[in-house]
Amino acid sequence: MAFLGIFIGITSIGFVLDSYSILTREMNVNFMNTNPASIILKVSNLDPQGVDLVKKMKSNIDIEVRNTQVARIDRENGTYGTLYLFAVENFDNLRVDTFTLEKGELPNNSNQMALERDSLKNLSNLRKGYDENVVIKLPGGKETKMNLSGTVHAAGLSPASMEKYSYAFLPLEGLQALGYQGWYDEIHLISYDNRFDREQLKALAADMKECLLQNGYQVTRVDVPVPGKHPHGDQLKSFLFMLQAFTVISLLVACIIIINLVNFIMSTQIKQIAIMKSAGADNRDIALPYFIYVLMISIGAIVISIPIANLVGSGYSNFAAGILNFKITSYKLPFWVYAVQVSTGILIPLIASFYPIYRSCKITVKEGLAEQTDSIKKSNNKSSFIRRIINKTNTKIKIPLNNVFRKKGRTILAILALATGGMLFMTSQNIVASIGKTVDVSMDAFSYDYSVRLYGQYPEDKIVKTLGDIEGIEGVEVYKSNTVTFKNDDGTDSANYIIKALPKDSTMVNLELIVRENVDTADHPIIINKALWDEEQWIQPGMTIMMEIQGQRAEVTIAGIVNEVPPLPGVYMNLEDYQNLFSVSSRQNIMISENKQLSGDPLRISKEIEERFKAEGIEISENWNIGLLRKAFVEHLKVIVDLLSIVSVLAVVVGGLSIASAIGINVTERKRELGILRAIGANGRQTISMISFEVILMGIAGWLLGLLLAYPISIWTGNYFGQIFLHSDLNNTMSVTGTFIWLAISIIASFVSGLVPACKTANAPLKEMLSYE
Amino acid sequence: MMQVVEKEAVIILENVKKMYSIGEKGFWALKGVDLLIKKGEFIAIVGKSGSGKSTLLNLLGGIDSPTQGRIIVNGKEVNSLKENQLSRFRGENIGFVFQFFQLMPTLTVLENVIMPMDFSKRIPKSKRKERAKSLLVKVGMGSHADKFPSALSGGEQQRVAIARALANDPDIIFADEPTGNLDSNTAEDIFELLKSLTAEGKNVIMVTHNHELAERCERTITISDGQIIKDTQKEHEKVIAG
Repeated sequence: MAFLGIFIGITSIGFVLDSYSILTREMNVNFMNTNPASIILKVSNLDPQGVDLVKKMKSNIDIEVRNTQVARIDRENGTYGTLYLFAVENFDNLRVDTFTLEKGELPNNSNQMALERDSLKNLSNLRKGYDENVVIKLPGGKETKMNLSGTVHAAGLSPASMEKYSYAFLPLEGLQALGYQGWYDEIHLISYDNRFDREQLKALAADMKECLLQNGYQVTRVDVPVPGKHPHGDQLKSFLFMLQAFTVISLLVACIIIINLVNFIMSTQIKQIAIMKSAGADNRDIALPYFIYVLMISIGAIVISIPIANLVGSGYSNFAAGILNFKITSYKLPFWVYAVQVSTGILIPLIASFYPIYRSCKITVKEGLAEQTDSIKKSNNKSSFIRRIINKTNTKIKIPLNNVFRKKGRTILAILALATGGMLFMTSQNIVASIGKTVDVSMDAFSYDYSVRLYGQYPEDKIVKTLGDIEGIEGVEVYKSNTVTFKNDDGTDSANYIIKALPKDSTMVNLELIVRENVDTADHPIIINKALWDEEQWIQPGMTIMMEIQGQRAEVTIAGIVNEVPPLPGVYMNLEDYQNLFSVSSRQNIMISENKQLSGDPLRISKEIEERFKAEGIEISENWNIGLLRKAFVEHLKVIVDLLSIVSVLAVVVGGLSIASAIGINVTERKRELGILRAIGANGRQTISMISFEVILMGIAGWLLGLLLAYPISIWTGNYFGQIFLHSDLNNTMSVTGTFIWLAISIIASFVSGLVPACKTANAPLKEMLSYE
Repeated sequence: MMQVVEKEAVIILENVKKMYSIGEKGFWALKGVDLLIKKGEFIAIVGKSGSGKSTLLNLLGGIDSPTQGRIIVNGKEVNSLKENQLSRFRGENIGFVFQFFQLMPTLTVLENVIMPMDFSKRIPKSKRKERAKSLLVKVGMGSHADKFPSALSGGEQQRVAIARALANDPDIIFADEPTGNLDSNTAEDIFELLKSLTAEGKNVIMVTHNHELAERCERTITISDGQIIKDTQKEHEKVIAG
């Protein structure tokens, strides 16, 4: 059992360290292998002269031009998915934001494109993703059949399966064949001199923009990504955080098992120690063999656990990499990983066993040779509070209750081990419940089920009338959206964000502000969400700042902050105010709410929207089922937390082992006493019942303690998780279902743990039990 | 005469042997014991350490099973019973008194005496407490019912152990060195208490190192090297017959 405890502890440390070192390295390797752009400039009238202008501005840079268009891809079930098309300058000479061929071939004519491999998860109509045809439509273009020549892996993009839109790469001629008229409109560049200094890159980007503007080019957007950071680096952080939590708990449980077992071993050695002392041995002479014994077990456990940890760590790394869409190029582990495993595997057991060994070695010869007396006999008849309560019960309950509290230290440690597993389990369940509640609360603010973006402008009454004929649609609201930047005091621009200009009397958006600043009285108020506020921390509520849309500027006031799920940075403004301040072309969007009792199949309404709009000549740019999107988002979060549930079950198993070891020791110590019970008439069933009752009591105590420990841990962990994924704390709640599942697990785990010692006791030869000392 | 003797027989041992495996060899603790114990006898089993007396007691009490031979107690062949049957049999027919008392430290004196009744369920639940109290009075411990064993002296604990052994009104009491851990005065009291039980028709079979007490028993069986070398009852019968 001691071996098992050390083995599990070291294996879990190894698993975490292996996964950590592989994942952090490989994510970085994958991402940096794509040569991610330091700066992306969107220039609406870009030509080769413009590109040369940028090249001359600075040395030691690499430039590629691209064009990104948002298209629609036919899913062949009446609905369309959103597809980001990236027109690439030269597939044979990729230098910036690169990707690699996985299957098939790269496109070599205007009728072909290569699909990013993770997009296949969004397109169930495709079988293999290459050597197949798909129907694509650009806004304003016509539906065109394109051939998928191959699949590629673009590790620098956010995984398509998470974002719910797809990616494909094609030559510019391919875009033109779809109806696009124009040249490339993006400059992707790497500045090798200051590649990882974001402030310098921002300054460089500002200079480039200024230079282009002065030369007559229209720079519509400037992006300076965080250098070296994968778009989903935060999610990897959350994976690893969960692992770290598991490691700490496994170590704790392993320590508890070791302490309990070494305590027991030493308690059986008391007489021998006394005899050795009477023959002249000192504390060091006595303690050393026991420490060597623990060391031998540790070394044995290390030898077996390291390869197993490697295997499990590699497996987990593969799993995580699959979700985040990158590849593991090498499973090699740095030396420090092995060093930490070995040193932890040796030090932790030695430290855990130090006090039990030290305490036992300190015993005097007289104490050791005296007849073993139970701790109860040593008592001076003072009745503790617990004992007074126990004495009120009947005999059959009193024996197991007293046995549970007989060796309090051991019992508490065993219960603690089980409780830590339960704490992990309940924490994961509570986080899942909290995620659900947080999303529900957020969804209350947005009571629409479909979001449709149009290509072009259409009369609102036509839109409303067309949609009104569809059964199941309850409400329709039209709003405008655009891309904004904010001017900082130092003249620099913020990043680009989406602004939604909503009808004043909107019933579908009811923003619950977490910060309010004169929202009713401020001049030209806007609301920003927390995700944007986290990105642009210089913006403060109440501030008046310059907002720019397509070159037009206006002063607006930050009147409030809202929490939003998913946490995509964005801005809200009153539509009338927006139209008064900005006379720009905007995207027209529709929010549609459904009558859930009539709607039935969630795809039916999406399909009908497509058909009706097509019939009316209204062109759709994007059509999203918000309910399904939000569900997918929550499910995606839950996958990460469910992983914690799975590992917590392992922790519960280890906790059960601790109960098994404690009860096994208890039963062994009481062998003669249990033999007496059988001698005076207790049968096997009665013996098993007594012992089982003891373990179930321990299980219930473990359940309760696990619940209590989980509460603060859930809040802290949940908020940490929420900050990573949602940029805000979660609406924390306890999972009622999880509470009852944990109760069942703890009772079953402890009952099963105690079954073997109970059956052994019931069937052991009575003579041996009575002669046990 | 022989038929009359068999009718009153409570315990019969026929060619009972017991072997223990020690390493690769076997050790015969009992090498063929024949024994007949009549109702109401107060028997002492004596012998040196390792003679086989404790083995014999364990076999008689169903705590151990013989390698060969038969053991019949109250008409039942004990060695053929399964463990659960043995537990029930012990609870109903046998009471044990141990050298170190072996009371449950976490139960009161009264509860220790009630415990065998809870296991066997022969005595109705409503009567168990009353019976336990009367047994404690019988052994002189009536006023100590609510105390814990740790509050009692050795002699007092042994009295309680005897009361516990009598809980289910068994016909036979086995006592393994019941006075071994007591001073001479207390030992004497316990011995007298055990002896008084035979007046009620119970059998008391006692293993002891104390030859003085053994001689005061109705019958003394001496074991040496796994065999009965002396049985005072047979000698008495020899004298009568002779």
